[in-house]
Amino acid sequence: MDLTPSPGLVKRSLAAHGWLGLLVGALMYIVCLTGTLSVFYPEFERWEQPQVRESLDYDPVVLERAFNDFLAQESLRTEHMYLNLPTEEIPRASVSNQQRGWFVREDGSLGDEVEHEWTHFIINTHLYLTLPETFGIVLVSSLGAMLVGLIVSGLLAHPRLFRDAFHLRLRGNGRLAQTDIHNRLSVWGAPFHLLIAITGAYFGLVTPVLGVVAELTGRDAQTIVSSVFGEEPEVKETGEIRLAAALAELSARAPAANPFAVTVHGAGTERQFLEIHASHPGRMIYSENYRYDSAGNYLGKAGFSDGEVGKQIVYSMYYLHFGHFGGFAVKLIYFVLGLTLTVVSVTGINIWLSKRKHRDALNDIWAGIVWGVPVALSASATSQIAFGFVSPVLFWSVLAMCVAWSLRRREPARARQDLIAVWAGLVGLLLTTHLVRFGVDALGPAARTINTALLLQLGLLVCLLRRRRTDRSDPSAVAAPERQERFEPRASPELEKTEARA
Amino acid sequence: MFAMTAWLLGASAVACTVAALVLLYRSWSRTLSGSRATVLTAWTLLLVASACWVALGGWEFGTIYAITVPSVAALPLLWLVADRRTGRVVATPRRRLSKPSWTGIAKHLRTFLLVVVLGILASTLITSAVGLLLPFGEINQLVFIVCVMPTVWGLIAFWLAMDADRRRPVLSLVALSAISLVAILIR
Repeated sequence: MDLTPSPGLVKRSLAAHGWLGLLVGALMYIVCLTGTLSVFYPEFERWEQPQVRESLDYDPVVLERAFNDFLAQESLRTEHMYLNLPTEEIPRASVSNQQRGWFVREDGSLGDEVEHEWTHFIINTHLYLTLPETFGIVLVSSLGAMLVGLIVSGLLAHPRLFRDAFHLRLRGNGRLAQTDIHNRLSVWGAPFHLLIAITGAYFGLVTPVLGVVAELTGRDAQTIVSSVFGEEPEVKETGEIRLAAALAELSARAPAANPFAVTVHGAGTERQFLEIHASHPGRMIYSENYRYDSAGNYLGKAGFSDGEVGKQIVYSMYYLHFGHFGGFAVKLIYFVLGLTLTVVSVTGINIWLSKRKHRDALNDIWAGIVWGVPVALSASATSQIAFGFVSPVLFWSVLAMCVAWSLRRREPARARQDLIAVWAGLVGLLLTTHLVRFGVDALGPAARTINTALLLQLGLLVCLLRRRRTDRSDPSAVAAPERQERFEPRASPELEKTEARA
Repeated sequence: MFAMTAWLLGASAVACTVAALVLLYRSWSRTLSGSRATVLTAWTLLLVASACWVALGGWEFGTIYAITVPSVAALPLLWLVADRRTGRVVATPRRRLSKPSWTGIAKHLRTFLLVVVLGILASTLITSAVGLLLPFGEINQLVFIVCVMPTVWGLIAFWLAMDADRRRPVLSLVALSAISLVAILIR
């Protein structure tokens, strides 16, 4: 049976792939880049406040006292109150309401206010594109659904995608190189890209889809959500939280579970109960949620670890999407593969631009966006570290300025060089500001990872800047006719023809 | 002892993955059809690597390692074998940005509306009907719907953007949506 798609199907798939890619390309690029950075959000949080004292040795009784003191402050009380327990990833304890948080010192007193505004900005940009949350998350998740369409159309549009899996021609930055980079990264990253697309689409579409199902089946939407995420337990004991007793009970009940956070629901009301979130070794679920009343009596668990398969799948989405399991190595894998998806987004548009065989303002705008986003992110990080100020307005303004500069230059290759120079300057400024503001803490364990990465990034940017500025670095340039391939038997004439036709 | 076993399993999995990729590359670079035995060995090695990952991290983490590690391991190999000969590049001419035609805008807007509005409606209805008719418990039915719907939407978007005769996917999707709605209402 011949499963090769017909030339007509290939042509139509290519057209559909191009259309869908153009529809979502620019937004996909921003979402992918910020998502790739979000993999390291615990490291970014620690880097933003490296002066906070870190420890894994907290006495549960001290934490209980700190949490109760915090809960007792009526002015700070919200429906849900949180206690983050120190973990290997973030060895800091903190208490927070639904708006603000404070670190807890080892003696139980409250320390600095939690201020991870840049990290939150990155995450919010990834989740909502800085739009209002309800609309933003649906839009971003829709990009996930479109990514599924792009992956499928990409596979059908390139019948030789797997056969040419090692065919990478990096000749300058012309269309051939862009096409090869796009196709090779797509094919090797396809399983991961599909995983990210499906899990990413889930987060924003779960609520509207459940709402529609509720309407269609005549059921209450809240009942449907509760059936998946669990219902509130009946509570008899209220008053001060006996956290140490609850943690001790959990330790006896589930010795393998690692508690990392506590949520108090209905804080200060008669419905008050606490939920201890604990990860389970070797399990993809974000947590199993163990419920206790205020006196530390066990009320039950949500059932994400051993309940229905559906519940386990839902609670595995977070780790699957963000790669926060298996330690730093897994984060690195997610980071690298996230970058490949980012590059695929960019090269896809580059290919479309170069197919037009001429340059115009669209080339300038695209160069401004591609190189302007890292500039805008670096500017917002520098602003946060220097002035404690970060805002979507700042990010979009800097990006708009980069696009305007690129339009003014009328030469994407030169605009790219300019923007890389600005990016490098901002990274240098960011490192210096961090060092000046935090002194020796900037070299400590909390900030070391990110500052080393920034230093590497600076080196890479300097290398890029030192490369000769030539027209070849413009993706809209057309590669001259090919010379003989290195691997003659694999010189893929169909591929060459398809590319030449395109 | 446990750490030693874990280290050995991890190292074996990485070694098998790298060896499999090198074999695949060698088979790819030598002949047009590839040596069947070499390719078979490579896939066997990838299976062994997967087994090692599952033994190391359990089937949940192990499956993800087995999926992602070859992707990452292939990147340096691609970089190493890339063809970097400099090719002559012709600078493309610069033009003024041409104004899009109203017909072109209308065409793209129509496709966009179909992909978004019809795509969401059809995917939600079809997935809901299939999900609610599956012999699963209620929670599993709902999770099936919310997890599968985006994929179905993506596929519908592709179909709508691909088919030259736009009426075919539109009519098919409207019919499928109507059937799904009826199926949901009478279940």
